[in-house]
Formats: sequence, C-alpha cells, structure tokens
Amino acid sequence: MSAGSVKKSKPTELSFLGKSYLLAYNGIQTLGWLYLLVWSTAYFLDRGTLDSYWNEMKWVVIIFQNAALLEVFHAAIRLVPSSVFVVLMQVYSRVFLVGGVLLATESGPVSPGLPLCLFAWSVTEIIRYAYYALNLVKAVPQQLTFLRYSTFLILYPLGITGELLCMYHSLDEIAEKQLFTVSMPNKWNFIFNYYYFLIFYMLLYIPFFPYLYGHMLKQRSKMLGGLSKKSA
Amino acid sequence: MEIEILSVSGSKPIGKIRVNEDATIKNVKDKIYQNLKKSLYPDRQSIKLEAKGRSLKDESTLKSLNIDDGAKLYLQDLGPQVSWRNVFLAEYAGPLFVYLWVYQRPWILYGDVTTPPGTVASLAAACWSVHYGKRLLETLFVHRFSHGTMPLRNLFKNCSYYWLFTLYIAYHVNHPLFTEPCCASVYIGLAGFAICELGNLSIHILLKNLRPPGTKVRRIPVPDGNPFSQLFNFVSCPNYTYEFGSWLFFTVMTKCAPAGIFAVVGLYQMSVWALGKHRNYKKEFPDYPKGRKAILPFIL
Repeated sequence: MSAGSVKKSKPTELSFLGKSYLLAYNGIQTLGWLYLLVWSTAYFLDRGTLDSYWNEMKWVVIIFQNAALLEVFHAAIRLVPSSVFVVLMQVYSRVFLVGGVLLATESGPVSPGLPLCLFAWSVTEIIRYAYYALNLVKAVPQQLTFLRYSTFLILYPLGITGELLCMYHSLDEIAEKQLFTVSMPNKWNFIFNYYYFLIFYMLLYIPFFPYLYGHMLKQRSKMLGGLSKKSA
Repeated sequence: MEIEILSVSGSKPIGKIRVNEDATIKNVKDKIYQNLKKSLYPDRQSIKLEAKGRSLKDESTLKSLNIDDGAKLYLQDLGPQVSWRNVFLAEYAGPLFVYLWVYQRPWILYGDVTTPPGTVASLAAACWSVHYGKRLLETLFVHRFSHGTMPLRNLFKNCSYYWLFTLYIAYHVNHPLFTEPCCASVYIGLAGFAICELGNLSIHILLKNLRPPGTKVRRIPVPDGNPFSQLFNFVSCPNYTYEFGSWLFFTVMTKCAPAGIFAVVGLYQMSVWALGKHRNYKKEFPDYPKGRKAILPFIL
C-alpha cells in the first residue's frame, strides 16, 4: 500500500539575488528580535508591569513573528533545503499563539508566561537568524555555532512553559465569551469548541516536547561533535 | 555453506548458520528462527548485505547475491508483526461498531434524547454500514496481500485514524440538532454513493482476477466488460477514485462538514499511494498507457 519514496531534490546553488534576499531577510529578523529583547529588558528594568507590556510591543511581535511565515515559502520554492512540513510545524505553533491567544484574548497577554516565552523566542531567534545570515557568507564563528545548538537546552523548556501559561490564562475568557466557537444547528452540521480545542492542543505538548527535544539533542551531538573534532 | 549473522545495531555477532548453495533469503530467515533466535519468526526479520543497506527480498537466492561461504549478513528485528488481514479486519470492524453504537444509543453522547433519528441520519447509518460491511467482506474474500505482515504499531495508528474519525462524524450526523439538507442533496448523494461503492467493488474484483492465486505476477490493469472498470482508461487507481467519490457523495447527502474533512484527508492519503503505484507501473511497464493519471482523471 505504501508509495515509493519521494526523492528529495538537491538544493540548487543560490543565485546572487537569492543570496542577497536571504541575507536581508535574516539580517532584518536578527535586528527585529534584538530590538524586542533590548526593549523588553529595558521595560522590565524600568519597573514596567505586565498590564501594559503587550500593548507597548505587540506590533513588533506581530510583524517579526508573522514574517517567519515567509520561511515556509522559502522552503516551498527550494530557496532553502528545509522540509516545508517541518518549517510549517515550527512556525505554526508560534503564529497560533500570537493570533489565537495573545491577539484574541485580554487575559492571555497579562499572563506571566508572556515575558517568559518572548524572552526565549527573542534570544533563540537572534542566534538562529544571525547564524543563517553569517552562514550565507561562510563566516559563522564557532561560538555562534555552539550557542545555536546549546541555548535550546534551557530556552526550549522555558519557551514552552511560557506558551502553555499564556494559553492556560486565556481559557476562562475563551469559555466565557465562546470565542471562535461554532455550535449546532447550522447549515454545515459542524461543531467547533475553541475551549476544548485549546485544551487538546495543550495536551499535545506532552508527546511532542520530548520528541522534538530529543531530535534537537541529536542535532546538537551531530553538529558539536564535528566542531570539537575540528578544534582538536 | 556457513554464513555469519550480525545485528544491524552495532554489528554484534548473533551466530552462524549452515545453508545450501541454492538457498534463498527465506531459507536463511527460517534457519535463523530455528537455530539462533526463537523470538524472531521469519516475518519479523529483515536481512541486509550491509548494516545500513536495503532489505533483501525473500525470493532472492544467495547465489544471485554473490554470497559465498563465510559471508556476513545483517539481521534487523522489525518488531512484533501482525497480519495485514487482521489489521484490516480490526480497522474496519471498529467504524461499523462505533457508528451504529452512536446511532442506536444517542443518549451515550447527548444525554436524554426524545426524538428518533431522522431520515438522513438513518440513511447515513445504512450507507456507513454498507461501506464498512463491504470492506470487511472484501478483506475476507477478495483481497490478496502481497506482504504477509506489518509492524504491530501500525495497527494502533490505523485503528485510531478510522475509529476516531468515525466517532467524530457519527457525533455530528446523529446529533439531535442535525439540520437535514434538501431532498435533492440527499437523493444525489445517495445515488452517487451507491454508484461509487459498486465501482469500488468492481475494481477490487478486477484486480483480484489480474493476479493468479499464490503468485506475485504483475500486469497492466485494463477495463473488462464491466462498465465501472472503464475508469481504468483514465486513472491507475480507480478503486481510490471511487473510494473518494463515496465519501464526497456521503458529504453531499449529509451536508456534514466533518464527513467532508474525512473525504479530503482520505483523498490526500490515497493520492500519495496512487502516485507511488502510478510511478511503479510506469517504471515496470514501458508500454504503460500514456494518458492515465494516478487518481483524479485529467487532474492528478
């Protein structure tokens, strides 16, 4: 019953235009997330509160987080050698949190999880996009490679905790306001309860977190194993 | 001649076996089962020339693979296996049971229900039962499986897909607040569903007759006298086309979005299989008809 395996097409050598575009994209993303990190740090050092935090910097998050959707497009047109499905899954969870929780509810953004996940996201993205940008010009310092494959050890659990806290804090409001909820009777005989969907979505983190964390640990040993051999 | 058997994980030696010069990989598997590892019945074994190489076919002879005395073969444990027939029976019996359970006992999901099931709900239950009843009978009397077994974990994956989707659709179609579509939708849906079910059965019978019993002979499928088989002029896998058609018409008949979701997800999975089979047909038969698509006439 199974289909024959699909051959992966080799990524073609990037044209000057493609390289320039990716360099600009990764560079702008690095600066955007750096701005967010610096701004957030300054905000909380200045005794800023959670109540107004989201309103102050939501546009920065919306712009730079949604710009990550372009990565799916990059993979689709073979501008980068990544799998479309893998990139889509990575981008989807964050875009979903921004659009489906932070922008849709008032209680999600005042959750203590918000600064937690935005800190984790911004540090991760600064390192990741800087790595991609420098990799295009073959100038990645060893320290950056080390950071790229090590910071997730702390930041990944931190980010996921933040995401789950944001979702958890928005649940009561979603149930009360019946947000994005469709009930019968309707023309297409369809029921959708966003409250239960969000609970189900949160539960999915239980099997997926260890799986993805394990995958990243494998990547780390593969990349940093080679690094230690080089430096030896 | 003597052959050393190593494990694919870490190339650890498992033991040595003695086989004839003209032995096949199947004979090697039998010997491993009898002499080296009682837990590894032949269906659970995969034999390779290299630790990370491809699995060797059961019918391949050692001579044809240039395996001499003292050669090394690598053994991989495929994990617990279950027969395809049993998997199919489990994954098709579930939807039949679950759907009728929801249809006949609505109070389980909706609490006290005073109204009896509507006409469309009853028709949908009948169609659902016909479909999965047909599938069960085909599994028992029509299908011939070229592979004997599949990994046990697939049983849970496949059953989850069918059983949970059944519960999802049955919940909506049998809901007390279900809105019945217009008569035209119901009749068109019912007629289309019946035609597609007959078409699907016809193709399965044609494919069965294409392969003589006990063989793995492969031939280009072509239409026979049955009008339903004419779809072979347009696609390589008309059984999948009819299968998708059944669920599309079921959706038209019930006007139920979850049934439509099931149809689309099914189409995606069947398209993957159909494209694979289509590719294999073209590779295997140089004279394969050029005009055929994989699953959707003129489209895909």
